[in-house]
Amino acid sequence: MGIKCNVNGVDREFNVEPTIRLREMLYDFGFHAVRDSDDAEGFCGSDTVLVDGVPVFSNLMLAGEVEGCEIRTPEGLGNYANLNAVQQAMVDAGVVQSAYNAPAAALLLTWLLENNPDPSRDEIKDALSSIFIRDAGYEHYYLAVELAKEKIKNGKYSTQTAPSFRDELDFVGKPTGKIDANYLVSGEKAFVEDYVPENTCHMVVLRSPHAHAYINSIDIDEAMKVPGVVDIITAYNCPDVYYMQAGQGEPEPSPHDRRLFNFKVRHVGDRVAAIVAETKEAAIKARDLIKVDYDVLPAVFTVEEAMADGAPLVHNGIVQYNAGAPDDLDDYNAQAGDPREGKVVYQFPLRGDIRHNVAAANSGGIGDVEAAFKEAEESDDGAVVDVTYQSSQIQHTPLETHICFANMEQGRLVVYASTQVPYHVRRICGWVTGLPHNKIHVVKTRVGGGYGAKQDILVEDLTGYAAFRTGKPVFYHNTREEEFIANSTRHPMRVRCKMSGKKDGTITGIFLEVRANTGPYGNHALTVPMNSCSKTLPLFKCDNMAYDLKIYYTNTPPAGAYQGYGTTKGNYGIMMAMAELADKLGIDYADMALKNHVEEGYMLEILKGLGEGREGNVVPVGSCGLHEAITKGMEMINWGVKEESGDPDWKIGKGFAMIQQGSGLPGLDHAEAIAKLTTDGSVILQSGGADIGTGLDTCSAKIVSEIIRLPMDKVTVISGDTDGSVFDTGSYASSGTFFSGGASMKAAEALRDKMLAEAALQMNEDVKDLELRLPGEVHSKKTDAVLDYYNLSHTACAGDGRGQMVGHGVFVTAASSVPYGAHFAQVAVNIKTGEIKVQKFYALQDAGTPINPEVALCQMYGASMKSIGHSIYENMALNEKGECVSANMTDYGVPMIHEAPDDFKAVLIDVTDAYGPFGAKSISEIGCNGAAPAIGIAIHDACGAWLRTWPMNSENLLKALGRI
Amino acid sequence: MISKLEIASSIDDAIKLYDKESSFLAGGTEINRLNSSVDSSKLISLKKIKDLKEIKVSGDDVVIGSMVTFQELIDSKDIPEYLKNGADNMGARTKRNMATIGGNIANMRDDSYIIPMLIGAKAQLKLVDLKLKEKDICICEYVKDYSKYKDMLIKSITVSKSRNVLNKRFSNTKESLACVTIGYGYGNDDASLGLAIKNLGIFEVNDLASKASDESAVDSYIEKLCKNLKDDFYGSADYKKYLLKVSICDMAKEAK
Repeated sequence: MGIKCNVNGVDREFNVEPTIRLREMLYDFGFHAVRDSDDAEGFCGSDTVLVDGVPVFSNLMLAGEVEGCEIRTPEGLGNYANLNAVQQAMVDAGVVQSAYNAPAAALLLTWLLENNPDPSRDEIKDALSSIFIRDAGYEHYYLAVELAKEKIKNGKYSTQTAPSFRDELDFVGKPTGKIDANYLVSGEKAFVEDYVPENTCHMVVLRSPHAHAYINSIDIDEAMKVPGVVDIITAYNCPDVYYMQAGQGEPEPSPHDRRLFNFKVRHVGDRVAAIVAETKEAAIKARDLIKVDYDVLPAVFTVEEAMADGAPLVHNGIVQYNAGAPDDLDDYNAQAGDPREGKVVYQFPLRGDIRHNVAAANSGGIGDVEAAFKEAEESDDGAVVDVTYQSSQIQHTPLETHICFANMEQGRLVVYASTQVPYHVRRICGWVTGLPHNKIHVVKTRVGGGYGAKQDILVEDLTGYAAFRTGKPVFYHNTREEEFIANSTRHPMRVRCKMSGKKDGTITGIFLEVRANTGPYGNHALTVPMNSCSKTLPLFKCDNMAYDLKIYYTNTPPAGAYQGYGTTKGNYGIMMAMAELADKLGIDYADMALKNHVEEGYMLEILKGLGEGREGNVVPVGSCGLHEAITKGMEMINWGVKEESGDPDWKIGKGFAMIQQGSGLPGLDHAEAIAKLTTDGSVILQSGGADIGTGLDTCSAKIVSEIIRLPMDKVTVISGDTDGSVFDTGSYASSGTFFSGGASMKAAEALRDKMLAEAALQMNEDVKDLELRLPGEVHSKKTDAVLDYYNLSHTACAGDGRGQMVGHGVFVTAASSVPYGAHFAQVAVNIKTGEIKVQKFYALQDAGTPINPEVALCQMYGASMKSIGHSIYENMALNEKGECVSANMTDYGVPMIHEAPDDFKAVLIDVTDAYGPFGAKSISEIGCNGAAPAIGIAIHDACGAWLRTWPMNSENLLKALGRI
Repeated sequence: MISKLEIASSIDDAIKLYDKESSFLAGGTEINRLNSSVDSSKLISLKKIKDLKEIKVSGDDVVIGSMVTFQELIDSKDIPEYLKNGADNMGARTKRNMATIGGNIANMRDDSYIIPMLIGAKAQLKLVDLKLKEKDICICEYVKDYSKYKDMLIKSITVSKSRNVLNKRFSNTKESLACVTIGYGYGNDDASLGLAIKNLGIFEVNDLASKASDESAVDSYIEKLCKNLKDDFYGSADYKKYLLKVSICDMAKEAK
């Protein structure tokens, strides 16, 4: 007998076991907006539904409990073409970004307004207290509720959704909502899991219980006997191909130091075997029957342990170089250990030394820092600080964990991927399968949260290979625990900053010593730590600056790319050190920042040695809103005014940090797009860019609309599909708007030129007399004649036509467009209990022309919240065996709405850049760089304690205050 | 692995369905949760038992059915403010819509949201044993002798409206599990104190409550109580002990 209940107003009967979870029942019957982000932990809220009018986690209810109940899922709200007021308001407020649980949030807010038409801020906060939002922060959800209230009451908005920029433009700089937001907020098919057909095989991975061990043998005999098992892949039967999983341009500045499966495991959670079976249950059963004999080795978990004399070596095999091999390589390789160590292949020298656990290294600088330090130490007028700051291992925690579906179709491997780098996925799948690129098709679906985690090819390599090898469709989905133990994370980093200055506030020397922990494999090993210098030192007008980087292999879970890259950690060190120096000199920190920050035109000599594994470009500072960000922020937060709490135990302090990032990698990144005028005069843009929820497709659509003079609904963007678009290095290093948007602009310009040329022939006019104008027509300024795009295209594609008009754009540049900003924090700390509360947080950023202003603001909130989390709450803790003891959402400690600052503002500083499309620069990554130093400096201002280690939590504060 | 779900229609029905393989299913936020501490093959849902959903006022007493959710506690005009504050320790609204007061007591988690406060409130529990006999005990006794009562169904919880109860919960984020939760209750001539200490347990320490404003007495008491407390992910032993000491003293001073 089935379970009878009413779902979204329709009586239904579900023939399922009453003990399955309600979410499983609903999802399996097509209610795909009821998603799972936490494996039934009751945390993220992606599984929220209403049961008899009450919001519940459907993962925490059994199907049998809803017999006779009324259930409402997000599908019961409006659909794509007819959103309800809340859904529309969420779109307009800019909160629908990666959107994995946006439908659940829409359901909750709809429920709120149906039961309380005029909720207070606290009541909205309460309603959203069960929804984890990582991308957009929570602030614009309050705006969305306000907008929805107005729409319901008055039929229109009176509140502005976001400021507009560039009056002379029609689309760029205007809040319009994302072009994919309607179908995302309404919960339509969008993510990898939605494309998996029935009868697909499931893959699970057997993972290492040891941090460091050789594999002596793997017995799969019993496992293979489990009915439904298709294949088991191990080190003994996988290709002998060494590669790396970082999504970087080729040749990569990361060592190729792994195979699909190795004969040595290097962290708890490392791959041991992959089991492909007809059902997930069979795969799990088989996994549990595999017998592995390990030879357990001593392990290292910190850079201090890794650098110690006689430390266990994480890699101790053969080293190869594809270019630039050192003369003594044979001698070096004569020291290689057990053959099961495998090998490490450098594409070019990264100054690694695996016999000392060093994956990569670099050093350099300008001027003479030692002389600057000596002078400051010997002068009555000077001071030097030499302080070390430690950041911790941080997980991205995207709501959609890593996932992949791969299949062989007509001799080609088709990979459905939630990725930031579809073309790098294709290349790496090509390496492990041996297939040429024409035989691989990567389809980037919508991405339910990336933040750098999906710049790395962590599951597509294995899933693609399994489908290729078995010839079967294969689906793989990380558990939340696997997301912690087997994925990339933010590198733990020890940043020592030595800084000298004078009492007039001049900084005379800066030295950064960075010791980074890359974990067992070297994804981004060099470039993340390089960023800790290359995106911090150039903030200063200082003639003497130096850096020394070493990146160590350890046996922790792997590290890799994370939004902000290395800058987040470097900036924590350098800004905190500047505050400590100002304190020592007895001068105001803000005065010191204002005196030493760079401004437009300042030549950045320091960049020469700070390229991505090559010489960097020395360029002057371009457009720069840094000074305005600082001064405006100081005004907003009443800098210099001491706040009192009224409670002797609660002390209040203020701090801020200057921030910068980049806009892609000049000289390395490459983006292309093709714009086609269709036969009815609308446009299809095929963009190589990968929209990961941040609105890149919308940027491209606006750019095309602006240039081709077409309404946005006449522009369709197809992106991130390796068959359906042209090459792009991908969405990382803050390159999306600048590079991929730049390519869209070039493609649109090329199309415009072809349209004008064709129109001139058709209209018998000179090109110079013609213009394109809204809503899609060619106009002669000379004769006032008009030719609409339909007729223009129809004639061109006729039997005697000259052909479809297509524009191809390629964007590469050596120009560097740097976004700047300043983040301000006001904190309250309880000196008795150590409790820390961020009361105010103001993020002021210069993004050039914000193409999607409302989306940009939400990304500033989201990045700030991530960074507040990293600074105070989040902690991937390992025990003495290297096991992560906080591998779930509750223990790991991501900030939710209760941790959001009471007063939270994002402000876009208006500058125009010379190089980006319509003056745009990047927006998102930079937002991760300010909170840690701003909060650390504010804590010191409040209570006099310097917290030099993440997380800056209550226990660490009590220790710093000498209370425990 | 859950293989059977029974929906009980009454308390009698629930008790009759109960056997050694089963657990009572209340809100599901613990039993159905990832890595649940409960491992039973049969669950007996109590959701359809109306008697367990009621809140009744009798003079100064409020009798709360064990299946009343945390959110219903907050929404009810009859529930004393201190207990609403205790329910609000659970930060997530959706979870509060599901989690029940009886379920939270029966789980006896060392990061309990509400048991320390109920100890401070000197709450009375009405239990039903497997022979359908009702038994009234103080929550202090339930905590002290949990193994004796754990198979009984909690029918209701009675608290006093006039009692004063202070509550303090220390956790990383509001959604994080608590490292220390303290409930301090007092009337005209008595005081009661409940502690939940992560990875140590739940304690009724009413003998400390009366001398809780004496810092040295609190210090020595907590040191003794926590002598086996180890450092863990949620905080060092020193950290937890420190929070207990300063909070207990502060609460006692506030009560005065």
